[in-house]
Amino acid sequence: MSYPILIGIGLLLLLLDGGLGSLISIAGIRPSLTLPFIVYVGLLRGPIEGTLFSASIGLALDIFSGIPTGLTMFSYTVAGFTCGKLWNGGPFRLIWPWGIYVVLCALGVEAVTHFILSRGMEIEFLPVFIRNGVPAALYTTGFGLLWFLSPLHRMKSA
Amino acid sequence: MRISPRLLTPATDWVIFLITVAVSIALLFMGNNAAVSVFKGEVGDLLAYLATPTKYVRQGIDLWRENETLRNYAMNLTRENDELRDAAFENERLRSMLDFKERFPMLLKAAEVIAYSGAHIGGQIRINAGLSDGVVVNAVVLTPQGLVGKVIETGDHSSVVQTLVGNTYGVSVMIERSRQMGILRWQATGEWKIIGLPTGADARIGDLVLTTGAGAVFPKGIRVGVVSATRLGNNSLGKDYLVSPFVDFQAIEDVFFVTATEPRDGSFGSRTMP
Repeated sequence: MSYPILIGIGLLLLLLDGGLGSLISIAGIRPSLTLPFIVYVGLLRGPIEGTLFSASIGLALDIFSGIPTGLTMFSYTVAGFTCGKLWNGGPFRLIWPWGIYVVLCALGVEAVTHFILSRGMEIEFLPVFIRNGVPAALYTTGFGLLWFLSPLHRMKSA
Repeated sequence: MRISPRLLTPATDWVIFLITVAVSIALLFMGNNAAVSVFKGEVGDLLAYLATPTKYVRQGIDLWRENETLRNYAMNLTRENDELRDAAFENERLRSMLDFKERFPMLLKAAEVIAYSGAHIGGQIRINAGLSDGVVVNAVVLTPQGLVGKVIETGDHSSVVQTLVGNTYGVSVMIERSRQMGILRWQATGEWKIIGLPTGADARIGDLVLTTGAGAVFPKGIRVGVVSATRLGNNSLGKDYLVSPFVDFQAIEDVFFVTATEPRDGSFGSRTMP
């Protein structure tokens, strides 16, 4: 997959995330459409491209969503880099590595976001994380699995 | 299109990652979002706590530097204090000399001791005055404390003074109180003894010893010392009278020499030195 296509998909997912995010939220739980994409880029293209794509998308999300600038960028960067660094190029399957990586990254991103925001709001981190963060991470993982199973995804080895 | 494999070194991806993380944290902390400010404060507290040991190191370094500065300062102050003390001593000495010069009945000129010489310590001194200053052989040299000796050699700009230490000449002296006369001579034992006093002379310990003016070298009335001891003489004819000079011959710095033999006010000889 070439860079223009990757960038195009990234921009499209950003727009969808911003435009449709609120429409597909359930009980205030909103999934991330961009996180599976950065996991995908990280796994398939390695740590450098994973880092750069995830940082760019994270920064754009921060700017458009009103989240403290740098927060999503930071968590996405760690996720993208980790995916690119840890995956050893083995068979690319639905559950492993795809599903596991997506859910772990989603949990990590939600944990970082909820931790910092809960400190600012002076509320307990764990309850709000369990109530909002974990469901959001699972919701995001569900989207990732759907995308993996859809005809839009053509399986490639890492 | 992909990133060149040459860039994909283990270090490159870490560098990019760390830079990106640093940028994201910088953006996060530079913002004025209320939610982040609390977290930022906590991170700041944590960093401050972790940096506590460096505070002690910094304090230690500051202390060391301050100690170094104070040490130098103290050294400079000590040196300055020494200089001031020397200046005070010199001032006192010069005042004393000036006062002495004004009260002494003969014309005096001042000179500085520039060297010590001779077989005995303090036996000969060289002063920075010579013929061009009016110094002549046999010129009397003295200090406000008392008689030093006489000039035995003179050059254009310096002269050698034979002090009372190790002197080969005798000084005609008298006991101030009883006016009895004798000759003061330096002894090889390092003592000064008055010889020639009559048997049963009236001389007591503490009596002032002055020059008599006999012999045409030493004017009358110059203080020499005090009688410090009396003891039976070796020849059983009388007592030995030992004298302690007023001048410390090993610590002379400034002296006067007599430039004119005539009294300044015509009354010399009737007065004793201050």
